[in-house]
Amino acid sequence: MKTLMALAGLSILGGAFALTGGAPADARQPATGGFSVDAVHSSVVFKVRHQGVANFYGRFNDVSGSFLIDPDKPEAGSFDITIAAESVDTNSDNRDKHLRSADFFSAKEFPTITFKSTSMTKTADAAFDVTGDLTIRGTTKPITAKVAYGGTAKGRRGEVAGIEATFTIKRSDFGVSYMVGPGLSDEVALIVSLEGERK
Amino acid sequence: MDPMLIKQLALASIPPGVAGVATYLLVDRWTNRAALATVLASGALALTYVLVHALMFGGLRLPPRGAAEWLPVLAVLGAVATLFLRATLRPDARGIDWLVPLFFLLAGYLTARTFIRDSWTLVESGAYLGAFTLAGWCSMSAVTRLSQRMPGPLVPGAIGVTAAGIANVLVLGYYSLKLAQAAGVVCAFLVGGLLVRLFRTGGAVRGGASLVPLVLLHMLLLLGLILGDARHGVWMALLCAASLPLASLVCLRPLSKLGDRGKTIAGLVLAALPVIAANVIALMLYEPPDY
Repeated sequence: MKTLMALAGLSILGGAFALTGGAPADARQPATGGFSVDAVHSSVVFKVRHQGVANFYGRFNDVSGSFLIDPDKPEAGSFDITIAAESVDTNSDNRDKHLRSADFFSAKEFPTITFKSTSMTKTADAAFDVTGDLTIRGTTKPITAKVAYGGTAKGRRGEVAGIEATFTIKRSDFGVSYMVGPGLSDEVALIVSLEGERK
Repeated sequence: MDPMLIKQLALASIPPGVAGVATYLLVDRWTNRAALATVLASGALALTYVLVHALMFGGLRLPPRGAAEWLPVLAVLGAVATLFLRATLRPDARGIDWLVPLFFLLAGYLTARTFIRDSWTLVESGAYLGAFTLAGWCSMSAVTRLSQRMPGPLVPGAIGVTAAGIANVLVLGYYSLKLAQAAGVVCAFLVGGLLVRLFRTGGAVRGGASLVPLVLLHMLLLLGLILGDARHGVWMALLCAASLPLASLVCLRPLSKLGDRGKTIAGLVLAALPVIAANVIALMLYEPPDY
């Protein structure tokens, strides 16, 4: 009986473990072959200074694409990420409508925000500088993002990998220049946290 | 009100308003030739628009990438087209009838080219461009007729009223303060002209330098319609586009007994009616911002 209970307990623990994410991450494991972005477990968050006194955070809910990081061969890594401009979410329907309008993202005209990497260098054990072309509102500019590599793990649907990229842009560089000033800062900080499933 | 918003509204109204008054006064003083005066006033309006656009939008982007970035380009092209029309053709409506639709077709294509390339079908592209060209041509024909028969304050007033209505619709209906500001620039310049014409009715500038403001206003309407997400957006745009053709009804015989002042007031009322209707629709659907 005790053996049966122990087996049942192990099964429950195993199931719960599988549901919450699988095996612990191994940052040394190379993510060869590339990963498709799992939108459900990924976040794109932006931070903008409002009235010069407070930081406001918003997000984009629709992110897709793929990435590849190999800690041993950083030059082989790549990012190809697409964000739907329509999916901007600031917890206010009216403000989201305004952000999608011609004043900001002009989302009907430029439906996607994209990033395509051009080079990657390793800066620490699990840290990289990823340079690439960011396109917002039809304007493409090179940017460099700090990327923290979270490693790989076994998930419910196979192997998963995670990264978190941080970078800051000037929105006016991309033509999103409305109301730039102390009321709404030109500088926007972005955090792109992606979980990907093995292709 | 947000100080930033006040600053933006002041930018879109005060400099172009002053420029409008100065243009009408200076051009009236300089020349009594209507063709030259119209060319000069067109150039002044285009230059004012380009400068204010650069201040509002954080510079000019050449070549333009977004649809709204074509506005200053088309303002300058409108001034050049006015020069061309006045320099090469007799100042009658017939020559303008052929060239104006082509100019509006070009403006419509440049405004909507991303949509034409990426998302619209051939039928949709044809419908939008056809309606845009027809609306621009009708407005231009109406304004040309009005400026020939009513050289006083009616034309700058009617375009100013239309521009004010369109600016309001762009905010309330299409949720774009930036496009509304651009319409506000046209409005302020022509209200400046209207003020001058109220006191100096016989001046040389006729037609409200009409190709430049008309192409800007029609482009702004099209931008609001295709970039915005407005319910009944088509109806609001069609009503606004009907404003100037409706104002030209004062040229009809039944209204000829009204006299100049009466016809001016009737024309302004007729121009205001459709834009008021468009604003009523926008206001009924408007959800006040909660941010």
